[in-house]
Amino acid sequence: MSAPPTGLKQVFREVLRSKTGIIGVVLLLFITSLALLTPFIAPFDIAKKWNDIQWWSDNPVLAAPSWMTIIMPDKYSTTIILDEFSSTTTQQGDIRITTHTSSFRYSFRNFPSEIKLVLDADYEVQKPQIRITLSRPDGENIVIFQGLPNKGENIVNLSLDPQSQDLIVSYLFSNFGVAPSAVYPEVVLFAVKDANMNDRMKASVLRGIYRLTIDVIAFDDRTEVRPRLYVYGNAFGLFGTDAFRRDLIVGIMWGAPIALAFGTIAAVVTVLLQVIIGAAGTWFGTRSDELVQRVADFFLIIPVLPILILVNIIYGINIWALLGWVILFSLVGVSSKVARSMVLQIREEQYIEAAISYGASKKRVLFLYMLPRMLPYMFALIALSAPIYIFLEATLSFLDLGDPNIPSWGKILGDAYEEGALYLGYWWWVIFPALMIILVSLGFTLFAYSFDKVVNPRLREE
Amino acid sequence: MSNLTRYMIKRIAILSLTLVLAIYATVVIANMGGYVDKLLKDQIKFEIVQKLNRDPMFAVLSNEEKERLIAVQFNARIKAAGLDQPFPIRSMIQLTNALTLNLGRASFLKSASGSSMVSEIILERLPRTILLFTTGTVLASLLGLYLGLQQAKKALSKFDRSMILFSIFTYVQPAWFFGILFILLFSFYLRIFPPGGMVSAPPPADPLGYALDLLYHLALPLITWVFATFGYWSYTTRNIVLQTMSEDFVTAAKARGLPSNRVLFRYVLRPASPPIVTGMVFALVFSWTGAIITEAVFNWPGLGLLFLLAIEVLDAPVLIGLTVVLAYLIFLTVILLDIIYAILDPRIKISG
Repeated sequence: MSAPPTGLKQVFREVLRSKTGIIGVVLLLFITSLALLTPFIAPFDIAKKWNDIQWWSDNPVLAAPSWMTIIMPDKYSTTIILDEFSSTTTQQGDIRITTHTSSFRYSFRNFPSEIKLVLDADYEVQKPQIRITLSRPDGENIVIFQGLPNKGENIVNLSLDPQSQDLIVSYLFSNFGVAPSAVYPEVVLFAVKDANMNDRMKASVLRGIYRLTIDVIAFDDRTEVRPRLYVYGNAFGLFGTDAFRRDLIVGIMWGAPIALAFGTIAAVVTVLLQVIIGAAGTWFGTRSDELVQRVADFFLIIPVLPILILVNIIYGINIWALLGWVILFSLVGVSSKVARSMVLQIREEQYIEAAISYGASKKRVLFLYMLPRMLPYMFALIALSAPIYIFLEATLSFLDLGDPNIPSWGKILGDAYEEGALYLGYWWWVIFPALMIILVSLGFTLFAYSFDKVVNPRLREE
Repeated sequence: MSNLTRYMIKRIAILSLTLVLAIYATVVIANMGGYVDKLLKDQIKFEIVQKLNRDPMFAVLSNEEKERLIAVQFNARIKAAGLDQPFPIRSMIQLTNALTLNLGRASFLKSASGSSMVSEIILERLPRTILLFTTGTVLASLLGLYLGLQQAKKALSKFDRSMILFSIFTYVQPAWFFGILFILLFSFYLRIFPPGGMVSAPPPADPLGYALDLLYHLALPLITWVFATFGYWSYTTRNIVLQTMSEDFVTAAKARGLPSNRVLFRYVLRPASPPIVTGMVFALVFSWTGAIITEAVFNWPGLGLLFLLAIEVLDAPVLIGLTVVLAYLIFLTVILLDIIYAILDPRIKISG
């Protein structure tokens, strides 16, 4: 066995020579570059809108990743947005009748998840009358909306709107003589016409060209109605959406800089402090050593996570304050123990003896002769602690106790858990944030392992 | 007095002092915004108003007299509870209360038996936490010790190196994280285990059925806990055993031609056991706080889930009570392992 290299540069070179080291470094580089790119790809104001549910309302709810349409084309579809219409207008005395039409091809093999209609309306005094008809490939014309819009944006979720549901029920009743108590417009409208067309399981999809006709009867010149139709699929974006229609890619990308910053800062500061305190305690004599040991007992017994939760609840802290508290509760810990045993070992060495003999002060010996020797170990300890702090933040966010203003992986997982993603099978909502955490911690772990392998002779490969 | 007893008394004294300090820190932190005081005062006011409302004589009084009566009783109670004292004295009262596990009344939560005393709520759930996590920790430690020994025997083999990686990897991941992935895999997709809870609703009536049902629900959180923690045990064991193996007396024993198993158990494991116990301290202390979220994820009705419920309804007395109880549990764990350590380490018997 050769002696372990002591210089940081040498250690790095050796780390990069091992397979685990390279994989670890590559993973960390990947996450770091993702973290650095995030502000450019998804600006911070999008991240700030994470909690603004209105902002995400145009996305489909609980959609799987859009690439699922390639893997399972029978089960997944994307959203169709209809916002370009051709219009014709006829004037009949005081009344102006405008007809907007547009068409789209529905070629998916499953039903839409929802249908939403948005009407941007403006008028002077009297509300315009609107009737919307869906003409299907089989020649059926079904009225899906009838009514008077308010000024501004009118959002009609056909799947939930009772009036639209009534229209569908009356269509079913006039054709089949039954009025079901629960009606699913998104199924009926796109199903082959038969008695089962209200049953998502039994009905079959009618594929082809659909045409939407919007008749507007206006009573003054100012009246204007701009329609938009969303036929929601169940697949969206790279990572899908959650129950609040949020595009998960935004949260997952923003999780990277937050996790990295929190994890590395916490790890660097606590390991440095712990090592200095542990080393100094041992180096400056029995009494200070005893003191550090007792403080270590204190930090061992104090239940850190519950206290962090308590602090969080009582004071509602943000991520930087959390960082401060975490550091406060990690002044002495595992790294101090490592530092202690290293000082006991190093202080017997000749160069320390030599330094003392030419009159170097205790402080000088500690900071200039001993701590630099521990640097490679500190790197391993930092790499090992960083994922622990990343998980600490994730744990608090999972409990909805993290910084409320920013999305983080733990928070996404917590939301997923809260909304029953585990029991309802919304796997993308769990797997992707979990995968990101695993990638980061794996990167740090492999790095720490290969570091340890170099500096710790017991792990060295011959 | 033997050296061992003297050592133990010294350790227990030091650790008790540490416990007092840790709980005092909790009291101070919880008090920094005057939050706990306000809570206690609200509670006292609530109790007075409730008591007076049950009194028919109170109902006939005018509003002003009612107010006055409440104020008089309130001030008397505040004085009795020491809430009018300056903070240093008040914090001492709270510290004594916490140390004697006089944890007060919960703001919202109740025990299954209907009590709203924090200590009763906690006591009711404590055995369930102990059932899950002691079983899990014992299983994980046995598995880890066995694997660690095997690793040490074949140090730096492919098996050893992949186990080390696995250990470091699982060491950094909290158990709840594996929990949510395991629920998704084993209970949603494979439908092998229930996703959570301790028994079915309604629970089976006969004792055997109840026990089996309990085991069925216990399985997945237990597997998760063992999976998440045994790596740490094997890693610690491996390193310590390897270190002992390189000692001269082991080489000498081998050179004398002793069978390798005898060398392992007599010459390696015996001296290696005290540091392994030290490793245990950290693992067990870790497990008490790790239990919080793992329980919550599995809906296991122990202390962890209580913690989550208390967070949801912002029940500060329960949260503070739980923190105190956890500090106690960690304290007891450390003492227990200290005793084991002292028995195992012959040096303590000699030097004290």
